[in-house]
Amino acid sequence: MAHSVELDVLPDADGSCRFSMGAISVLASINGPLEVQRRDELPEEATIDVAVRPSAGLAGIRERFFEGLIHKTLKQVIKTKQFPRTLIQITLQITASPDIDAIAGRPHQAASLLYLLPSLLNAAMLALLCSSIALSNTFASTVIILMPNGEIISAPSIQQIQTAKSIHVLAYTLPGDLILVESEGSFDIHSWEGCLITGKDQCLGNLSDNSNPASAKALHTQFRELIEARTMHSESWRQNIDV
Amino acid sequence: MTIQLSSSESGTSPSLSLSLPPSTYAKLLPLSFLAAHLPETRPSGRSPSEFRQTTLHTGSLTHAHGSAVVRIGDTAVVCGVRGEILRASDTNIPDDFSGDDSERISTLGLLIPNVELSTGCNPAFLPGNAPGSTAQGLLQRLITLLKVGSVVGFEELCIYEDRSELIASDDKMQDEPEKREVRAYFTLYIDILFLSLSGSAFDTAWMALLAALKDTKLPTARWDRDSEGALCDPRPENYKKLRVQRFPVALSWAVFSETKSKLNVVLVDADDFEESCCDEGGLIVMDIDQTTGQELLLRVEKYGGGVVAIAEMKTILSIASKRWKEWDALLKGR
Repeated sequence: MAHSVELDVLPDADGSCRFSMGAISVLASINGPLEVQRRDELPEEATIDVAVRPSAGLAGIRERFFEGLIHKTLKQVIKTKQFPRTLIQITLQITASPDIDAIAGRPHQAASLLYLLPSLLNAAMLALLCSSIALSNTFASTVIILMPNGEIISAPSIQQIQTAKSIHVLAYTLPGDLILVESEGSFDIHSWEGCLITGKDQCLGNLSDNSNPASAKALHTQFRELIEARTMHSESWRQNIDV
Repeated sequence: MTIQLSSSESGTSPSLSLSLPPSTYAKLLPLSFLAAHLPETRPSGRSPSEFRQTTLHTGSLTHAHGSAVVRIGDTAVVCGVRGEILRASDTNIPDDFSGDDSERISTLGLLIPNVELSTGCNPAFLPGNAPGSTAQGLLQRLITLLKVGSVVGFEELCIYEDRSELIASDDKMQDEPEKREVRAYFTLYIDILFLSLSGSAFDTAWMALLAALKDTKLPTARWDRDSEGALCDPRPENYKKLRVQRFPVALSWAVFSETKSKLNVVLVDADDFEESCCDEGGLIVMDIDQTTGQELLLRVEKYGGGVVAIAEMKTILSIASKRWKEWDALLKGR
């Protein structure tokens, strides 16, 4: 499943991005540092507020669960200590999702739909890179599935996910630290290890094997190129050149 | 026990002895208080790889069909299970439904857990408030684990209409019809209340849920054609024990990292104070196959920080299998 990214889609937000992958599309906006409500104010760091909104209906427990995970992950990369007593607001609107259950109004008992999580995380990451908020690191997130026959599939389609035995959402920072794992299903430790290695290749690229770098570019490399192009564009007036 | 601060910290006058009780030290400088104990031991006296003992009482709620009180350290949870009847005619499951039993249960909504943290169990959760993000996150994990783990079988929750008499009286019938048909289901409302919360919320809630389900006895029910309703046998001796298929074990952990001394310690089953000092944490849910003895993972969760990788996870898994033996003995009443 290939993804497409549009940066700076919202003119008034401090940072924004649209991240689409297959049937999933997420619109992310970042605002901050803003004034924080007294109740949420932290004396030594910024408060991070993550809101996930589903494509249909109101946010339920599944969105709260995603928000909790995204909050913990972003806290690792945002330099919150640089903006004490402020608020960094992150809104992630799912604009398209293949989730039929939510539309039918039965979100409570539906599966956790973990495959939405990498798109949400990547959208938040790219929007953060577009904003002026200081970051200590960047990460990329991907989904890996394990089929009943033991096959490991990276970047699976929705149909493949539905027949999978287990689903693994991973996020790697640029130095190669694993900052998020959400594995669900039925698997053993060895196949989990295999999924982690495949996921690392997806996010950071296979560092040992450079035989065909063109065929599968790592997520980190793709993100880097996007941000490079954006910076070139926004700095072009300085160089007085046309980009 | 008092902690004597060194003379350089306590000021210029050596006669002024500034000593603090450990509880004050823990409040003032929580991170260095914890770092001072680690890596060999924790403030509670446990070693980092030691989990707290679980205690279990079942059947203490008289009005529920099944109940359990579980205590892990200072975390105490009460769970009650109550069965209600859901008519099959009120559901809208398609005839060509292709999912397996656990998908059927979740589509029909036959297992409905609820988590209540607003009981005054912890100062972080104001009593009487609407469920916050922590409670909702816990609930989401419970719902998916109930589904992924196929804890309760679908057959257990079906109420049938006996059609053998109908078939006997109607000899002309050509094809062999079903002897019995599902006309209603038992919906189990699983309410989990935190009496006290001091870390490892998911572990305790999950254990309480398992124990309460195992304790559940549902009345024998049959579909009555004349009244178009399910009839339950009120005699307690005819209540049937709910069969729980699997007992997966949950173990949560946290990682204490201190950059100054490059200290990274995995704290298994962290308590409230330890959790508040850690950014990185996670959860592992595993089960051991009774016949092959193989360790099977159902959920691995990890967030914040990058200390724990594959090697550490293997250690955590081996600790979880120790807890599996503890819980297995508790649930089987040994």
